[in-house]
Amino acid sequence: MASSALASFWENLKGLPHRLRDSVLRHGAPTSDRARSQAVFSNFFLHIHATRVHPRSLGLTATFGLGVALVSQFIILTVTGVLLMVYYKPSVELAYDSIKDLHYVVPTGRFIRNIHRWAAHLMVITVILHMARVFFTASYKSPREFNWVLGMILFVLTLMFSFTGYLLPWDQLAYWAITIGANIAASPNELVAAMGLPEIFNVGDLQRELLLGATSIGQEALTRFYLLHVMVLPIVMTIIICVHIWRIRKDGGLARPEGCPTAAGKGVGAPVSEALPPSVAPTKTYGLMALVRDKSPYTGKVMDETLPSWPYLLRAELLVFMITMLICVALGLLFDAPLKELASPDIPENPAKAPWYFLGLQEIVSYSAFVGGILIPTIAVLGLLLIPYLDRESEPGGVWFSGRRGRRVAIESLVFAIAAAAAAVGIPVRYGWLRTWFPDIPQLFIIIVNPGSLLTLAYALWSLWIIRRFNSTRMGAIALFVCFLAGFVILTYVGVSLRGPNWDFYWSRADWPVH
Amino acid sequence: MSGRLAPEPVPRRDFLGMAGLVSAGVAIFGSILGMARLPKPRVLPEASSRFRAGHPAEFPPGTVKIISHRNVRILSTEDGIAAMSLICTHLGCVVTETPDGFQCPCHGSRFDTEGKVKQGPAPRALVWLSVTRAADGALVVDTAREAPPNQYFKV
Amino acid sequence: MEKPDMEVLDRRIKWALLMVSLLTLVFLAAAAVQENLIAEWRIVRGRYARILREKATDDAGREIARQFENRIMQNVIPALNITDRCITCHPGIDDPRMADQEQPYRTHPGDYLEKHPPEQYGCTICHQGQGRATVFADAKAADVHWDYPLLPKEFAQSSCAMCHAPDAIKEYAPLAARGYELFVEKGCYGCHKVAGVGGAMGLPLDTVGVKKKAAFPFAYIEGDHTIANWHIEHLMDPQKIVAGSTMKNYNFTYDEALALTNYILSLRGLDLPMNYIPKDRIEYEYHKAFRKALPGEELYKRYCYACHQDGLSSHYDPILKRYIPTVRNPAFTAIATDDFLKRNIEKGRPGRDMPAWEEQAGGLREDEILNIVAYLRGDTPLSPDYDERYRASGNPERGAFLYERNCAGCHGETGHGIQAPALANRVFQESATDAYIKATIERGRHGTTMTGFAQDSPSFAALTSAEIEDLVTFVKTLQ
Repeated sequence: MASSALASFWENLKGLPHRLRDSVLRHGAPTSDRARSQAVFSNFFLHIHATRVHPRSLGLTATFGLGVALVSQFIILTVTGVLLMVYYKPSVELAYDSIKDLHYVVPTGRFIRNIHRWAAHLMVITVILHMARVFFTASYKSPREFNWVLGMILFVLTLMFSFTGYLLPWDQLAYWAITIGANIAASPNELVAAMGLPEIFNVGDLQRELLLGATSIGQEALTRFYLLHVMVLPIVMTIIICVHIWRIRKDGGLARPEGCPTAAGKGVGAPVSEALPPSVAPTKTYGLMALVRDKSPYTGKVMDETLPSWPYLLRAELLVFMITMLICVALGLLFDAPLKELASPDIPENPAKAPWYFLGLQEIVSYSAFVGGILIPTIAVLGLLLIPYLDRESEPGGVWFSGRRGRRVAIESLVFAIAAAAAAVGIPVRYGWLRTWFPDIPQLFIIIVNPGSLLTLAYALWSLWIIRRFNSTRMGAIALFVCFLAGFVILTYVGVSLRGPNWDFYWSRADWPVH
Repeated sequence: MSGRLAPEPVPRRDFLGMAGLVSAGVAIFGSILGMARLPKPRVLPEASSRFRAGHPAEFPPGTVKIISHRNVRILSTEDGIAAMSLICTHLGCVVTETPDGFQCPCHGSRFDTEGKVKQGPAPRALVWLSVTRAADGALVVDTAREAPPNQYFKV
Repeated sequence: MEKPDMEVLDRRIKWALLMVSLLTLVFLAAAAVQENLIAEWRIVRGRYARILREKATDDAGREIARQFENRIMQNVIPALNITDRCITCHPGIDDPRMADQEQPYRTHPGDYLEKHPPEQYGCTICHQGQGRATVFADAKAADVHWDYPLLPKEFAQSSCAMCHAPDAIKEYAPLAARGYELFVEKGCYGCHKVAGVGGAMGLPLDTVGVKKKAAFPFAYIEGDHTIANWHIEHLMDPQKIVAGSTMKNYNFTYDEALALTNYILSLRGLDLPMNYIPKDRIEYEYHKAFRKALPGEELYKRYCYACHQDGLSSHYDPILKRYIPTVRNPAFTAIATDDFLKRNIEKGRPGRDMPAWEEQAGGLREDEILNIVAYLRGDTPLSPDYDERYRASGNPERGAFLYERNCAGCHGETGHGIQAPALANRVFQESATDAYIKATIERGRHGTTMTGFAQDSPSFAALTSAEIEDLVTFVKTLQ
C-alpha cells in the first residue's frame, strides 16, 4: 500500500507541470471554432465578450474601436499610475519634489509620467467621441438604455479622475484648481445669500468641508483627493466598466441595422417588440457554441453569419490596444507633461487656466460660480442621461444619424449651436452684461440670468422646437446632443485660445499684455 | 442529430497573423521590461554617508563618544581616532554598550570591545569605518566606507 | 455571403497590427536610447571622464579617474531641505586641477567650498536655480516653471549677505556690503521696515529676496526679465517701472543700483537651523538687539532724512505732491516742546504720510527717539515768551470765518491738509498746545510757505490778536 502510494506520489510529481497548466487553463490550445468559443466563455477575462461576433461589428465604421480604446487607455493609466505611486508622496511638502524626482532621476519616470498624463487627456477625448458614436448610431435605444446611463457615469468618472489627478503634483495649477473647485462646491451659498434664505440651507459650506477636510486648502485636501484618485475612483470605475462591457453582450451585442441577426436572438437585431423577456428566453444558448441547430427559436438562422470572437474580435481588440499604446508612447516620448511652479497660496497664475477639457466649464463659471459650476453641468449630464428614456421611438440601431432627416437636423443644430455659443461669449465681451447696464440689479438676477444659463435654455428650446417640427423625439435628441457637443467645443476653444490675463478676451496670445 | 454541427478545424496559422501577434507581444513585453526598471531608484534620497564628527580637539585620547543619529561610536586613543558602526551585522538592529563589549537587543548577538563576535547569530564583527579630515581640520566619518579593524587615524 | 469581405477585413487587421506594433517598438527603442544613452548628464559626465584620464599623471589622479562613475550624483541636506544634483554635471568644482577647464568642469573659484562644503550646504542655497534638475536649461531655470532661477554671477554676493552680517563680509562680498551701506545712508529705512525697524510708507523688505517672479510687474522692464534686473531698473527709475509709485527716485547709478540689489536680494527671511547660522550674524543680531542708541544726527539720517531732508526748510515733494514740513527750523523748534516733538515722532500723523516710530510700530526705542528730539532741537532753546499754560478762549464762529479766508487754501476746508500739514489730525490735536498754534499763526514759519499773520503780508492782511485767538479756538475744534 505504502509503496504504491509512494509510486503514485512520484507519478503525480512527474505530472505536476501539465496538471498545473491544465488546472489553470482548463482546455488545450483551441483547435476548432467550438474550442475557441469554449475558451472564451470559460475564461474569466474573456467571457464578458460574446463568444461569436457579427462581422459588421468588426468593421471600422461600426464603432471606430472607441470602447476598446477606452479600456486600453484605462489599462495603460492603471499600470502607469501604479508605477507613479512607487515614488509619489501625497504630502504638500513632498509631492512637488517627488514629481520633480520622477521627471529627472527615476529610471523611465519621466516617460511613464508623460504617458500617464497624455493617456488621461486621450481618455477624455475618446470618451466624448465614444459617447457621440453611440448616440449618433442610436445605440442607446431599448434594451440598451441602462448601458447608456452607465456610460454617462463613466464619462463623469473620467472627468473626476482628471480633476483629482492633476491636483496631485501640488503645483500652481493644482493649488488653484482645488481652490476653484472647492469654491464651486461652496457656490450654492451665493444663491442662498442672494435669496436671503436662512443659514440652514448653506449646503455649500458642507460640500466644501467634505472636499477639503478643512476651511483652507492643505494636507487634508491633498489626502482626500489622493484617496479619490488612487482608490475610490479606480474601484468604482473598474466595476462599472465591467458591467458596461458585460451588458453589451447581455443587451444583444453591438447595435446594428435590421437584417443583421444576432447570435443570441436578443436585442435590437430582432424587432424590439418581439424581444423575449429573460424568463422566457433560452437560459443556455447552445447555439453559441455551434452545438445545435434547432433548439432555440433563433438557431439555424444565425450561425453561419457570425464569426467566433477568437481570434477575429480578439485580434481587432489587440490592434486597437496597440494603436492606443502607440499614440501614448509617441506622445510620451515627444512631449513632457506640464508641471507648473510649486503651489503658492499668495499669488495665482494669471490667467489661471485649468487643463483644456475644463476650460469650457471655466468659461461658464466665469459668468456665475453656481450656475456655471453646478447647475448647468448637472442639467447637461441629466439631460444626456435621460435621453434613452425620453426618446423611445423604435428604430433600427447602428445607422448614423438615423438617416437623411437626422443628418439634416444635425447640420441645422450645429449651425444654431455654434451661433448661439458665439453670441453667448461675444455679447458680454462686446457689450458687457447685466451689471454693466444696470449697476444696482439684485445679485439673484446676475446669478440666474447669465450667458451660460441663457445658452442652456436656448439649446433646450431649440431641441423642443425640433421635436415639434419633425414630430420625432429622436430628432430632438439629435438636436440636443449636437448642441451639447458644439457648445462644449466652442466654449472650450474660447477658454483655451481666446482668454488671457484676468480672463479678458484676446484674439491672439500675441496681444496679451506683458506681465 | 440533425442540428448538430461538426467541429470545424481551425485553418493553419498564417505567417502574417503570427508576425502581427509576435511584434505586438514584443512591444508589450519590451514596455513591461522598461517599466520594471522604474522601482529601482537611480539615486538614493539620503543624506551623504560622509558626516563631520567634530574637530580632533574634541577627542583627546581616552574619549569615547557615541554619535547617536548616525549610530557611530568614536574612540580616541594614543594611537589615533577610530570610528565603529553600532549596527549589528546580523539584521541591522542598533547594539548597546555593555561593560565587556556590545550586545544586540533583537536576537542576542554579543560582541567584544573591538566588535568581534562572541555569541549569537551575527555573521561578522561590527564594522570599523573610514575616518579622514576635512579641509578645515574636522574629522569626517564615512558610514559607507569600511576600514580594517583596529585602524586608528593619526591626527 | 459575408465571408469574402471578412477575409479582406481580417487581413487588413493583421497588417495594421503588424505595422502598429513595429512602429510602437521603434518608439520604445527611441525612448530606451534617450533614457540610457543620450541623456545630457551622461554625455557631460562622459566628457569629464576623458578629462580625468588626460589629467591623471600621478597615482592619485589615476585612482580618481578609475573610480569615476557615470551616474547621477547629488548632495542631500535634509536639514535645509536641499537635494542638489549640480555636482553631476559640475564634477570638478572641488578638484583644483580643473581651474583651466571650461564650464561646466571648472574648479569653484575662491575658498568658498572649503568653508561651505557642498555636502553640508548644497549649491542652490547660494546660487539658487533648480537643484533637482539634471538638464542645464532646467537647472538654470530661466524660462521654465521654477520660482528661483540661477542667480547671475553679479548677484551671487547677495547669498553671502543672506546669512552673514553685512559688516562681516566686506572682503568676500563687497557689493552686498556696499549695498547695505547705501541702504542706511540713503535713508531707505525711512520708508521700509527690515526686521521690525523702519517706516511704513513702503513695503517691509524682510522677505523681498524670495519674492517670486510672478509677483513683479515686468511690463516696463527694458532689459532682461529677471528679478535682479527688475530691482536694478526699478531702483534707477521707480516711477517708470511702477506707475504711480511713491518710491523716492534717487537717480542711482548702475553701480549703486547693483550694490543695493545685492543687498535687497539677500533679504530672504531664511529660517536656518541654529548650527548653520554664522557667528558674525549672531554677534550682529546681538548687538542690534542690545544696541546703544546712536547719536541723533545719525538716526535722523537713517530714519527721517529721506523725507524731511535737512529739515531746515520745507520743500515740495513732486512724488507725494505736497510740502514736507520743516522739523529742524529754529522758527519751529523755538515753539515746539520736546514733548511735542517726541509724541509726534512716536505716534506719527495717522492718516498722513508720517508713520509712528515708537517701538511697537517703527521699532525705535525711547532713548533713540529722545536722541532724535535732541538733534531736532539743536541749539535752539524754547522761545522765552512761549507760555505753555496759555488757553485760547475766542469765538470759534469768527475763527471759522477767518480760517475759511486765510488758512483753508493750504490746510484744507476741513483741516485735513492739502499741501500743508493736517490740523484735524488726532495726534496734532493732542500734542499741539494753544500756545504753539498761536505762535505759529503770529510768526509764521520761516523757510516755509506759512506766513506770519501778526503783520501784513503780500497776500494776507494782518490779524488782530483777538482774531488770532478766535482762530486758535477754532483750530482746536477741528476733528
